[in-house]
Amino acid sequence: MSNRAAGSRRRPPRLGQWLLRATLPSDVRQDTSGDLEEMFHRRMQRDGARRARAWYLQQSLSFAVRFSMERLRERWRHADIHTGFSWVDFKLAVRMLVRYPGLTLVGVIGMALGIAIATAAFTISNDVLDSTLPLEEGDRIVSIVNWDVATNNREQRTIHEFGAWREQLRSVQEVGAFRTVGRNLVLKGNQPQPVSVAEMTAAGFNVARVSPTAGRYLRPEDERAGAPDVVVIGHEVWRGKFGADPSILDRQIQLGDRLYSIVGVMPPGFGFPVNHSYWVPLRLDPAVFEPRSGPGMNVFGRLAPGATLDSAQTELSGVAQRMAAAFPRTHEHLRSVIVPYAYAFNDMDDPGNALVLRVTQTLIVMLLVIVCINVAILVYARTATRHAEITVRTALGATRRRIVAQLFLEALVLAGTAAVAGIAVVAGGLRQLHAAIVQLDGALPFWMEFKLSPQGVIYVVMLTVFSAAIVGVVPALKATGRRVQGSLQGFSAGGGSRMEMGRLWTTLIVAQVAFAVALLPATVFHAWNSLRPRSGDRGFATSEVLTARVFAEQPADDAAPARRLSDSSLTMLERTLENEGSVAAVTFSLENPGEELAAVLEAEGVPAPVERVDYNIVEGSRQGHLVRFNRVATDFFDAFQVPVLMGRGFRSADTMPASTSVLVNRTLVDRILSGANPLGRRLRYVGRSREAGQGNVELSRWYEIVGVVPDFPPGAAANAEMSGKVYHPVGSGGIYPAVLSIRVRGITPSSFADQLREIATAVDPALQLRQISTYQQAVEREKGVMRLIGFTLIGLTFSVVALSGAGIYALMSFTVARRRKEIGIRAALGADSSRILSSIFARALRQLGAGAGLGLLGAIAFERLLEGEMFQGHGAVILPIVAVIMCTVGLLAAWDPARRGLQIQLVEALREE
Amino acid sequence: MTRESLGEFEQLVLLAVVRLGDENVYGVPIADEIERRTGRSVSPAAVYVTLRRLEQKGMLSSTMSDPTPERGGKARRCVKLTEAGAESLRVSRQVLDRMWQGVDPRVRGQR
Repeated sequence: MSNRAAGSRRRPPRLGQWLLRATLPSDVRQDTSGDLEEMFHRRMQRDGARRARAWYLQQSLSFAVRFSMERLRERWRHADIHTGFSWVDFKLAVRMLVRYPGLTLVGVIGMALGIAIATAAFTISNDVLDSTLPLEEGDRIVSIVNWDVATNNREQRTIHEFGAWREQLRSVQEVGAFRTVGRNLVLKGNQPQPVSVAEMTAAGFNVARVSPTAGRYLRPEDERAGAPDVVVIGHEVWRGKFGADPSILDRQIQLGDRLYSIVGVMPPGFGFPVNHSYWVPLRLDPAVFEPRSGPGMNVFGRLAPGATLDSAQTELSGVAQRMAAAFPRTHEHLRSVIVPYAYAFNDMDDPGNALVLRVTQTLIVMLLVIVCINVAILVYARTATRHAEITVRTALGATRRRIVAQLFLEALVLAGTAAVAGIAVVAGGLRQLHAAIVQLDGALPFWMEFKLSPQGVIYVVMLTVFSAAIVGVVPALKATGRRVQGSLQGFSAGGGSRMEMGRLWTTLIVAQVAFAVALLPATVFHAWNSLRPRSGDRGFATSEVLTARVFAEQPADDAAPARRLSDSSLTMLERTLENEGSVAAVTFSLENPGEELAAVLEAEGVPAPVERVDYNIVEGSRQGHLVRFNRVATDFFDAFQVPVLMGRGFRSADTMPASTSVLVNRTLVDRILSGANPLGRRLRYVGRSREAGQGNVELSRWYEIVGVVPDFPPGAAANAEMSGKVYHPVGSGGIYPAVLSIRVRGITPSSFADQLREIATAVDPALQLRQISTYQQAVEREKGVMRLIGFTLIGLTFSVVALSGAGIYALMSFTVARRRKEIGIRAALGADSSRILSSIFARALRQLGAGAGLGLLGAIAFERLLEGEMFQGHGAVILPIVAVIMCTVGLLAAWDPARRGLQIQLVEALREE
Repeated sequence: MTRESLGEFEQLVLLAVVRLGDENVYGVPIADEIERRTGRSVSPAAVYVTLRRLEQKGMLSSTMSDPTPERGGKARRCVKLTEAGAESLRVSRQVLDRMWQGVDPRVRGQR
């Protein structure tokens, strides 16, 4: 041991000294730490350095806790003087919750929902936007991506550039690359199981800076051609598949058709680059690839010390310019961009998406503001009933600050109760969401976890104080304004409450009715869309159909971007399955029915709509009809027992490359061809959506309609513009990956899953079946997510309507109470009840009318802004309905106060005065 | 001035100060004295928090000694009982005595 290390061990631990400096009051800091040091030296002589240091650390912690507690106790003792709050105020605030249960219930439910939704939005967008990976200096790990500005698409084929980046970039170190490949894991005595394997350069482990728990990780020499095949496995695989075998190293496993030696095990939770558990060396030489060729890759690295994203981007752009000069044909529209690592995987490398996320989050906080304004109206009405109390306290010398502080604390206790409920709701909701996403998409990337984080809790605290400020301070300032002095005189002369529902509150009521009318239609529409029973009926017995995606395993050294399924394998699989007794029909397609891909279509002789298509169109034009398309086997409709309504079905000759035959559905004929005879009419695609992928749509090629099928599945027809569909015939090798659909008879589809895997392996060991499930399960999964969204929206809608009603009720009650004397006199002078009622309702109607009118204008403006996305053509029906609903709610809320107004007796009213 | 009553631990600390005399009375010997006399282990942090509180209440006064190298160059705070402290101790004793008067000898531990 060096002298220096030995010397430091004879001193008290630095952490303890720091703790004492940070927590001891300044007046005793010096002598107390001196005494402790003295005791430390005594102990060291008696017990040795190690035990003395442990003792010192323990004591400094004990001092920190005790003195912090003492400081808190002192503050609390003097709290009344310094902050305006006291224990009595807190008790009073809790008592107010109990005394006004209606307000407490409405306020807590409304604010809890608002806080929960705002916090969920915060958590999700934070998870998506937070660029810090849970790794050492995780914020310095970056992705390098190429972006084709002509098609607005990521260019994944970056193997050529990878070589240049690795050699030339100085501000990014450890530049590495990976791609995910599918492999069948073959273990003795088990079915082959498809797994995702990361083919990664050794730099990946250096970037992650995580050591293996056993063995080693990949090294650059493993990447050389001819080096032994090695694999590093994850902790979960080691435990789950190998029973935590301590002698796992050098054991061989079969991935696809090759044997790999296990050389290392990574620690629990390690999933770099995305959510991988198997890592093999990437053996591709960038030098042999032409620009924009080769397989799709992800390139990553770590910012060099002192480098920033900006400085790295400047250097990268220099490299990109040199490449563009060297390869003008391929690189003219290519831009190289450096982004925080995670952004390359959640589409946040497109700055527009990040903006949309932030705007959505802000809008959701605005919803909470609306909720709080409503609660503020209720609180103000309650404060009005306590006007005498406020006046007396003022007379006894309470300052305005003191009274505002008291009312703020009351609001804080209300908002705090809502926050506790909100946290429970959001924690449960996020858990559900996480489970739903994992079920739909498999595992999430290792850096994402939808759960309430400490930042989330801080955000809840901030929202709570913010809500309490709206709910408590605004009414308190209004209630303790200049008029209090005047009302003190009125009060002493026997007058009642002099607080008024001034212009501010009238404006707030108008504003919130307007907000509700503007926002509710969209919420109601989308809630209905999420909850309507669409997927229960797909037009075929969902419980009889088993579906799977068929992939071909990529040979280890194959550099091809995406292998087409070999004709013979898929055809053979189809034949073999057809011969199974329990299989009624087998077919395949590019996508499942109901999940077809979007494109923009032009029909010959039909003018394109004036309005451009509002969809994620990345290539070609938006001028045309938005339709969905699928590529299907010639026996697709027979297998699902869908009849051809007009013309003919597909024949095997239609799968020839020169064939232009397509089938369309009924809705396309009705909507685009206006119901005219479609046979022989020609169609062509003019725009491609991002989801459709480059190889699936050929723009500008004319196709001829040879037949018409019914809307399939029929439920989707409700989704107006989406339901026009075009079906292209395709042979076995024409699509990758293919969706295989098997209709079984006499057994349940799920019981056929194992048999299906066996048959596939027997036909071709390279065939991989993923996402094997019954349609019923797929429908249920989809339903679960939609239900969650639907119920959230319904909850929000309900709370907005209930709060609006409560706000208007409070306003009306207050107005009638203020006019008791006037109404009593009018009744005594013989005014009939209808005139009195109309005078009471006139004010409510004026406010509701103004609010509804403004709201309608707002909704129309929104609709224009979103180019019809909000109501999807139903605005003319939905908007008036919502306006009428809001006015009805308002009038119902006004009814009870008005009824009470009619019962006012003059003598009583005068006596009260 | 309202006189504040003393807690049990506060009484122990004040009595330890009295017992240790006038010279060089500070946290370390006080904690040792309490441990020795009561036979129970004492948290130093509790002693220091109490010393500070008693000084704020005016029952102890303190002076700083010169810094010494064996304490990392830090001064020592030596405390002394004030008249108010002595009065509080007396009152606490009287209150306890009055409460004990006439209590069943078996409970008092006298046979």
